[in-house]
Amino acid sequence: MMDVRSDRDLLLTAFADGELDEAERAEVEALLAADAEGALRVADDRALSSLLRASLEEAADVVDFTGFADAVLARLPAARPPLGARLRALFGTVFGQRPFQFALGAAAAAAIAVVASPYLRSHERPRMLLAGDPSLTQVLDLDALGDHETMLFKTSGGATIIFVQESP
Amino acid sequence: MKFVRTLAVAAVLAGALVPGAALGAPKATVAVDVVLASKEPGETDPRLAKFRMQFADFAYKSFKLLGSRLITVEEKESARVDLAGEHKLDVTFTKLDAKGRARLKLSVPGVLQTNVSLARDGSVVVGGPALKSGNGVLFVPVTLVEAR
Amino acid sequence: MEIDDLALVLRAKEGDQRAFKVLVERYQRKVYAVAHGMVKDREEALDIAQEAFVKVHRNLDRFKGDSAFYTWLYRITRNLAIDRIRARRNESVGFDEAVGSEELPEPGFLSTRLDANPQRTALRRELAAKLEEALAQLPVKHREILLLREVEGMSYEDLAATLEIPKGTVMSRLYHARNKMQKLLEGYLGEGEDRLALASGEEEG
Repeated sequence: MMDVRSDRDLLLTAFADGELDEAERAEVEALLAADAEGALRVADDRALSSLLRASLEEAADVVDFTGFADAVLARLPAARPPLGARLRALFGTVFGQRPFQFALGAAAAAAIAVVASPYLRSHERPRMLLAGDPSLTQVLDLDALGDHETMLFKTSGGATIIFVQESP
Repeated sequence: MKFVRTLAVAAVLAGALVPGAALGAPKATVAVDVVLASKEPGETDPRLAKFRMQFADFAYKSFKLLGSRLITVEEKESARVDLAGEHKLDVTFTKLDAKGRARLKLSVPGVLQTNVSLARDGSVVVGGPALKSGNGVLFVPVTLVEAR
Repeated sequence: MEIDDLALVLRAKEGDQRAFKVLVERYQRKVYAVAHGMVKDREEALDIAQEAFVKVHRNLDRFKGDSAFYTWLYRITRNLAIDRIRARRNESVGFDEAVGSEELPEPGFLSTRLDANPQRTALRRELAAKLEEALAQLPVKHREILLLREVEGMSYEDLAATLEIPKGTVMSRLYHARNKMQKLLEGYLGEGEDRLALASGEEEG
């Protein structure tokens, strides 16, 4: 049995949803200028979307989500091990790849001298930032101060990042 | 003989009174880089190309190297590095362990404090302090260049 | 400042529950909204929402990051909701792409009435209540695609990934789902307009 929807109908649906590329959108807009019925269908789709969104928002608004996340965490298996154990587990693995070579040049050999200028001097060897094997790094402890929260990340590239943000 | 002994005792006593540097206290040389990360598209400093790869997991699109410092800190001493804006980083060289790893205390006053153990070439990034101007956030890789 | 979902997932995989909590708080409302839209029961929707996050956590290792986190999360939510619906004896879950002629709504009935009606605030409120009834009458496949589209503003591509259907089917289902909804609301509007005509002298809200 043939489906009643035509390509035009699907095109209008996609247009109402903003799924067309620029060229297609311009084409449909030009067509709709002479197609009152099509323009009304698009307006109806958008009106319905707007109503649905509002309705979904309202449904969620009446719910108090305080404690929801904690309730989820309470359902998770295994209590969280202490920070020290987690950190040891986090950094205990030696990563096979060494993506970078740390280039130690003459400037690094003379590192006893404190560099007075705050900016990298042009004659210094280009240092590869975040060079080295992640197993060379251990975070022993971490404390957030004031109204801040911290999170410890190990990126897929192997870098150890202590990320801090203001508490919400 | 007595005079020589006296001189020897005096030398030992003098040595005991001299500050650590003269007795060869361990020193750590630490590189502190200051990177500004932004979610706006833009150019990334070529020196940060590898750095940028590490941040593929984050939503930052461009990175700018604001500056680099190489500091040398004696054991049990601290040095302060100005980052950008009002942010500062205090680096304390707590101790050198038997394996040649340096224990450092890194502190951004009022924000965070962490103790890390770095082997030579090891690094940790402190990230997140935002600039009040709203132009991005700072990421500060701290790398142990040498400790002995 | 917001951290990417993927970065949080990576942390959660390492056992950082705080990172996982951020993910839960980020999506709890929307996951609930989808679940509620599917099952129409608040307590059941809350339970489904919780279960969805627990299931996500249990399967974190399977998430490779080759699709958006939220498409995976909503897929799990939707599947859990459908399981609950299946468990009810009086509702079937029809997934076959039955095609055939269907009555189309009058073009412009919804938009023009909402725009032009001087009592449009009251009308919107009236419609919002009818919307829930109309959604409940839709086949599950139409209900879910409307919910996912509107709760997250998902692209067709994401909808296709979440529902594991071709993009063409996404467009077709949305088209049919909206037609059905608009037809149902057209019926309500017809009744509603009579009441509004009687109340035209009253203040809005």
